[in-house]
Amino acid sequence: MIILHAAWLEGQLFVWGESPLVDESKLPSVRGAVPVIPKAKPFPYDTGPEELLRALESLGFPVEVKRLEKVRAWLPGLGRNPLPSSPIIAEKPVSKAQPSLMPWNVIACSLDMSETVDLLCRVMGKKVLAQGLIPGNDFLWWADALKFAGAMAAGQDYLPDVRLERGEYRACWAPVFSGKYAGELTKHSKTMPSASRALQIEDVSLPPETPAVFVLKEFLSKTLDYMVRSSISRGPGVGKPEAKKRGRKKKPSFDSIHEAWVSALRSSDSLIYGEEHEILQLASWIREWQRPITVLATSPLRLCFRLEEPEKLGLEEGLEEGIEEGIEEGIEEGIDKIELGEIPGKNESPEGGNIEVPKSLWNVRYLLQPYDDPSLLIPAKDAWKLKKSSPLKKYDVKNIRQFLLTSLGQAAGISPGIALSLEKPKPEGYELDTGEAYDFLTAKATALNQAGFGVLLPAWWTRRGTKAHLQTRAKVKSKPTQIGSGLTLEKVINFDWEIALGDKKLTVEELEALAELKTPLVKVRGEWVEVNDAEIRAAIEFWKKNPAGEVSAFDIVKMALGSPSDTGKTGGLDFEGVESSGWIEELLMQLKERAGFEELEPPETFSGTLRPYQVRGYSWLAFLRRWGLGACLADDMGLGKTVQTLALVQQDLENGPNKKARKPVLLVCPTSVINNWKKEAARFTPEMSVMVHHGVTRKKEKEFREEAKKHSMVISSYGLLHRDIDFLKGVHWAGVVLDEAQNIKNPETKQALAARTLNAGYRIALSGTPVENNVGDLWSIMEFLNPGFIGKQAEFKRNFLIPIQAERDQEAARRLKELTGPFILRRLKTDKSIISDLPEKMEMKTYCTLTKEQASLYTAVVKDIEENMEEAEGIQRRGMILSALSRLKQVCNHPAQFLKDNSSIPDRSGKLARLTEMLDVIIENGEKTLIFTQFAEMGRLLKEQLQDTFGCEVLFLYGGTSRKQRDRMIERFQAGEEFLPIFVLSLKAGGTGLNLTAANHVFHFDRWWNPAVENQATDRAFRIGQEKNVEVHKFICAGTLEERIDEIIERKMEVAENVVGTGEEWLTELSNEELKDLFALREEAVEE
Amino acid sequence: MTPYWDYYAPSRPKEVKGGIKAKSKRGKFGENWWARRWIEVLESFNIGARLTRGKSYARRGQVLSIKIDTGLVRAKVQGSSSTPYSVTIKIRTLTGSEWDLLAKKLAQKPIFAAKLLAGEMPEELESVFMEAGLSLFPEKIDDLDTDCSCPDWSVPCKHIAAVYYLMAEEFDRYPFLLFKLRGVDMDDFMSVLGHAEPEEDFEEEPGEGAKLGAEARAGTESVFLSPKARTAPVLVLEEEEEAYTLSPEPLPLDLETFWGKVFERTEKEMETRSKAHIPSVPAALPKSLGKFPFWRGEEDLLDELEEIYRQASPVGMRVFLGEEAKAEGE
Repeated sequence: MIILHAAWLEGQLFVWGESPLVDESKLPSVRGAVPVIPKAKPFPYDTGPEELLRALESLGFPVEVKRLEKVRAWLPGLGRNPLPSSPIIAEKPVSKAQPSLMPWNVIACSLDMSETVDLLCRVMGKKVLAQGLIPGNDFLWWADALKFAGAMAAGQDYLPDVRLERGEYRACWAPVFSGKYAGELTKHSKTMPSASRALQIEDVSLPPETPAVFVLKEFLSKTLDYMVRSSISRGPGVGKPEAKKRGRKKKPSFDSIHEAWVSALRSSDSLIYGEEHEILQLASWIREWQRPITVLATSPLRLCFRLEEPEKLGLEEGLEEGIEEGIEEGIEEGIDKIELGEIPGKNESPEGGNIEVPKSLWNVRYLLQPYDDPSLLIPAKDAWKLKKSSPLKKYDVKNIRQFLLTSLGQAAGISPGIALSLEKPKPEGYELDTGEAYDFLTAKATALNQAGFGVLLPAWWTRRGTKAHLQTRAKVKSKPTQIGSGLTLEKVINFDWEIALGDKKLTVEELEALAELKTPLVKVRGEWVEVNDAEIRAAIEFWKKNPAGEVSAFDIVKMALGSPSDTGKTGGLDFEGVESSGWIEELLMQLKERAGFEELEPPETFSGTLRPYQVRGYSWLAFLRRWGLGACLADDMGLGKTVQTLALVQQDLENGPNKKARKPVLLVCPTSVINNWKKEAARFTPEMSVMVHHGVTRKKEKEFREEAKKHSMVISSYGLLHRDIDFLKGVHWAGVVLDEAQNIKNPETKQALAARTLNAGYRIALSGTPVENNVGDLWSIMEFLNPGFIGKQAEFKRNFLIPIQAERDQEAARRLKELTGPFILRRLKTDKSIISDLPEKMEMKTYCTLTKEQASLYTAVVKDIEENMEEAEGIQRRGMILSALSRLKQVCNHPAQFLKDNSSIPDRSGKLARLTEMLDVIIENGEKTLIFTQFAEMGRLLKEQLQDTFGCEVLFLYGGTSRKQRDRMIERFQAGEEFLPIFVLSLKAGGTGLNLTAANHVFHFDRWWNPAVENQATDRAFRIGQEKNVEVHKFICAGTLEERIDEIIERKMEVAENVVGTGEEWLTELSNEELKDLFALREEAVEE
Repeated sequence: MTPYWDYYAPSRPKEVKGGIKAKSKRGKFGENWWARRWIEVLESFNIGARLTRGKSYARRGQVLSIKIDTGLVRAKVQGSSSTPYSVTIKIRTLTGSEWDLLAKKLAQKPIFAAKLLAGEMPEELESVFMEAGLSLFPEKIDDLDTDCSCPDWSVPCKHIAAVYYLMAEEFDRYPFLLFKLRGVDMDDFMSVLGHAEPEEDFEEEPGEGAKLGAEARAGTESVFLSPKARTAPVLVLEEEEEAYTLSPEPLPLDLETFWGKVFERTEKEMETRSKAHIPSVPAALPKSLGKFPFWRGEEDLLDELEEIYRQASPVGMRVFLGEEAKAEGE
């Protein structure tokens, strides 16, 4: 186990590792006085060269040993003892003493810029890099810093420059920290962990003291420079001569220092070849050239332009926030009004919809906005004539006028109105007519903003979503046919195009009248609306050409939900959507609301009760299937996605199209849940014939096809989906269900590609994670469900991914939600409508599969028992049986627990695999878990393994835990201040008395014969103080002894809970035949 | 009658690489009125064919360097001889009180200052000078004192003319150079303007403008502009190191700050965190700075930058999104 740390030293990122001690005795002794001048010793928790190299290699960085070096790490310690960074490494010694900074030697590897960017990109957003390879928070902090550099490179906030580095002059691309970045830089550097700058070269005996902000600045400069250079080396400009080599000298020469500079800006070594005095002169010219930026960048304020509407005539419309002064009184100069209703032609709008053209003037006001308090907007007047009370006094006043003039001078180049205002002393703003105001809104504002000025626009403009300008919509008139009477989405639908301004529908005549007005902004019902001349012409043109259209109902649905593939159809006009009536309207409403569709009865042969919300979910799946649309059911774990799906499949068999056709449904899931599906199907839909396509003996090709036809459902795994796709895709599936659909979130993976080629009547994806929030993962799942609906991947990236993830564009997020929302149903346990349907405690059995190794160990143990059973008698027989029981349970838990050989842990236990998958979802949902096991050694194994997997501390309580430690653990777990999502407890030590209500998931990793004991353990979480519903997951290896134990428990429960007693003694009374049956391994138990 | 020395066979000047080449390839020099007015001053000296030669020198890049200080221009021009000639042009600078007078007038129209700061010279500026009884351009031959180390006896010679033409182009780009030449640099100019408009509760310091003007004139050898800029290269290049030795920041020992917190970011924090955006107009930042002074590169710097910025943005975006990990198969 390694926690990777990273620190900046000498212009490079150094990576080192921290690991638990193999041998505790390596810790230095606590005794003895602390020397005054600390002498550096090797850091006891240092990962060391071999492991560090292995870790780097596993991340894709094969590094040679000679690149490793010894550096000094200044870390906090107590007395002479080092302190680990996390309890995963070692317990922190309990001491009241203050920690002090101590020098240690660690082995670190320095990365070049390319490796730095690469590695940090890989780390972004991860808690674990690989099993047992955990990035420390200082490491993760650098990944965040790199994001910052990426944003600056993308936003082009940098300039070419010259710098002196180790006596050499180099060309560089230097970030410009002006405007918002100035604040970001300080803010970001304040969050820097000390560990990110705790390294020092070996022969320096003082701890590092470089301020965080300089360290960060240097990192940003270096990475940004690298990004720009790497884009050059990839771009089309490659092959440009770096330098003409002349004469015998290796040193290239250039015609001018400028050429040398440009070449160095492009080259990989960045060295400028020139005479020192020339370079210095160049530098001074660069300084001169960049001067306006420097003035603006060093200013604590920025200039803002605020567009103010003419004196209000109709509705009050608030301006953007931050406006603190009243709008100057304007003079009402009268309004042109056209009664559009008077123009020949129908006016359908009942309100009449007057379009007004106010004639009074607009204003642009100059304001100064401090970066440290952006809500403060100081009128320029204050700067021209400084008052005592002015907030400007806080800032460097002498330069404010120069700053204001420089800014205005720059802005004047963009807007002639601003230039004109500068003809008079102390300008504070200028006036505009409506045409100019429109120009300001549409063109000048963006240009000014891009030049670094603040721009404040009226709110109605900034949030103009669907209303503030000309739009087209498709008007569909469909008959109010009863849905269900043979309508499909293939039906061809007629529709008319309509053009609307705001809420008001326009006729061609009205459009032409609008064009006559020649004013780009009008007021419709008191609200400003944009009527761009070009748009009007485009609208008239478009309309004359396309008064009506004819498309499939599917296309109408796509248009109505804003599918990007259909926006090109409206001649450059904004497409607002579909106005419809009849069944299309009804359908659209049902889709958007995910409600209003027919609620189905549970299938006749469904055994068990569906909860009310499950009926809704299952009916919703059926509703989408009815229209041939794919659906993603993303209910919280524990809400019963499995039963809803089974109900749907069964319903189809009984009443749906599949009643006659009898095609099978393909269900793809992770290997670890194959058995669970099978068991659940047997329990809830006993009539359904299920075939498991798995294991080496599975049928293939034609044989498979024939076998599949005989069943209602075929269950297989993601691994086989890809491996057997050749014949899987040859089957006409009634439907395809992907369980844990996040398995196909990456569209390039083989299983995702395979899933998309399947031939299916309907498609369903199941997921317990909030798929709708992971924009990046959404495309692949949606493309599987409804191919072509959300556009091509590149389009998706451009339209949604970048706007939402990089630009935080709310509008794009809204559009995506509108587009995908109808196909995703996610209900949370905490939803009011759900919670009332749920019991406070839900017990669920999770059927797990044995790995091949587990199966062969199991068989060997059983064989061994059977051989000895015949001969043994009395006490000997009892002892042997009890030990056999224990050994079999160990095998079911984990081979390593059985073998006790410290062998490797991952990928050897079906239970552990399933546990990890479930914990993944639980942790993602921010919930906490208790895991009970009857074996202390299994508990320890789980603790270590889960720490390695999830990269966080896992608490572990067992018989050897002192009372003090136990109380501290419980306190920490309950307090919720630390990230402690998992608590492993041994059934004996933790099963009674404790209060652990912070958890709402309880796992019983292995089973105990007495349900009362299990229930008592469950009650650690399910007791007074618990605010959530508690889910109890009981792990059972299908086809093994464990399943038999479970059956016995169930049976005994019916009699009386305490008949069985607390022990396993009664088992020894069973006959040999009974025992053989109990132990026997059934075929279903084994994974492939 | 042409003097006899003009009968010398016209010697070819030595070819120069990397000299300052005029942007004007044919016809007139100077795009803006102020640059033209500068040329007019030269052309009023009546030096005949030397003007044409000077132009072609300027266009061929025979001028190797130009340094502009307060009231003094020094240049190296490659002629036919093996070593370049030294050219100096001295111009009378304005006195401090003359500047003060001007400043008062200029404050009435902030457009002058704003435009100058933004690299433009308003035409009405000349009339402001005239109202103050001054002139922006050297008027009489007495205002100018030119000299060249070449054997030509005529003053100005073609070498001086070449420098003159190139300066006109530089004034085009950066009109403030004219002020510089007349004795005031940007910082002085701004403080002159500042003092012309007294603040309500700030004490005016009379005559500082004059002081500054005088200081500026007394300015010794300077590469360019203010005393600050003179040392700029060295200062700026060492800035970072110096700054942190001044304010060391020891490592905080609080254990949580030391190793960093687990940062679980809330949606709200995500909103306010840095966003990434690729601007629709590439290289807006360098473009807003205008042309690079005395650019001698083969290609226009801004054109070259535009291409680079355009290519770099997607790389930055990929890094921001965490996608710039080594591409598969690389």
